[in-house]
Amino acid sequence: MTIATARTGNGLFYALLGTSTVLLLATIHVVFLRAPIEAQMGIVQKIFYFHVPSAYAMYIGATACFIGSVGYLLKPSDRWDAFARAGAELAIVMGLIVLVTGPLWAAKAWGYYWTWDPRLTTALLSWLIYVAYQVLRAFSGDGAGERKFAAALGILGAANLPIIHYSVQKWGGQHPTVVTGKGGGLQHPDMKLAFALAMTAFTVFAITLLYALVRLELTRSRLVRAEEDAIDLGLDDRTEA
Amino acid sequence: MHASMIQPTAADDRATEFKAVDGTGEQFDGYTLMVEAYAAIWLIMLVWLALIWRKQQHLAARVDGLEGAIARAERNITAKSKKAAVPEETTA
Repeated sequence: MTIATARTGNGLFYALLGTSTVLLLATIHVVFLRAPIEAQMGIVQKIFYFHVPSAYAMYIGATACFIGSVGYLLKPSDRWDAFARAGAELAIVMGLIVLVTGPLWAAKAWGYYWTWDPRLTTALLSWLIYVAYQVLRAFSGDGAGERKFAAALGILGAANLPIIHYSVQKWGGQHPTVVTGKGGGLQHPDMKLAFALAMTAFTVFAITLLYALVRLELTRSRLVRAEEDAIDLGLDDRTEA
Repeated sequence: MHASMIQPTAADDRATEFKAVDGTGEQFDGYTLMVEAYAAIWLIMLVWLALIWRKQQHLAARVDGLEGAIARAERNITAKSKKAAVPEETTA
């Protein structure tokens, strides 16, 4: 990587970070100070403004993992692998937010934290696939075979995404359908504004995180290559013993 | 007044029977749940930040190891070239 490329990358990262910060602050302002309290559920409905965008950010991570995995299987390279790995990590963190905030909302709306509803079950399954992906990458080494196996898992994880999305429409269940077109939607302009802002903020934030993670993974890959070269050249005497 | 005519008070009820409320949703306070949800989001983000920091530190340690190996190799090369230069000087 040249110095000019690195500087452009840094500029892009700070631009994304700044935009995410402004958007997230605006979202918090509108969610808590402008959007009205929902008539039936009360204040707990405000979880919605972060729960749904987190799920969307999880989809972004999962899609990145899918693209990276397909790219790696077609043309193996550190870049595709880093993209897939970063996507999986983003999907895990955003998925965890979804799986923690969802039950807290459900406790008030349904009276219990968890039920084996189609959407909840498929979302949990998808999250577990990405956890399996990361566990595989962490403990199975970094060879081409392990990378290919992980790429297959990344594709499998993405296959579950449409099932999560359409599970509510196909199999019913208790999960709300406010933003799927089947429900009545958000009934107040400030609710719509809060939701639109939250979705935009989480999209930019997810892209920022993805970018940072890809760069971290690429640095790690470059280091692995440098270590291998050092050993081949007999520079690294730590392996001699 | 006959004992059977005395109406039982709420305190008596609590002592003698347990009644379920209709529906269970209201047992959770919405405000508390919302605060817990936002606290969880921040907690997850902070733990993730700590993990990324640990990952970066691990990379930094490996870079240190690699730099150390390069420095040792450089010292070895310098020492070998000095050794090789000494006989040439003596013969000259």
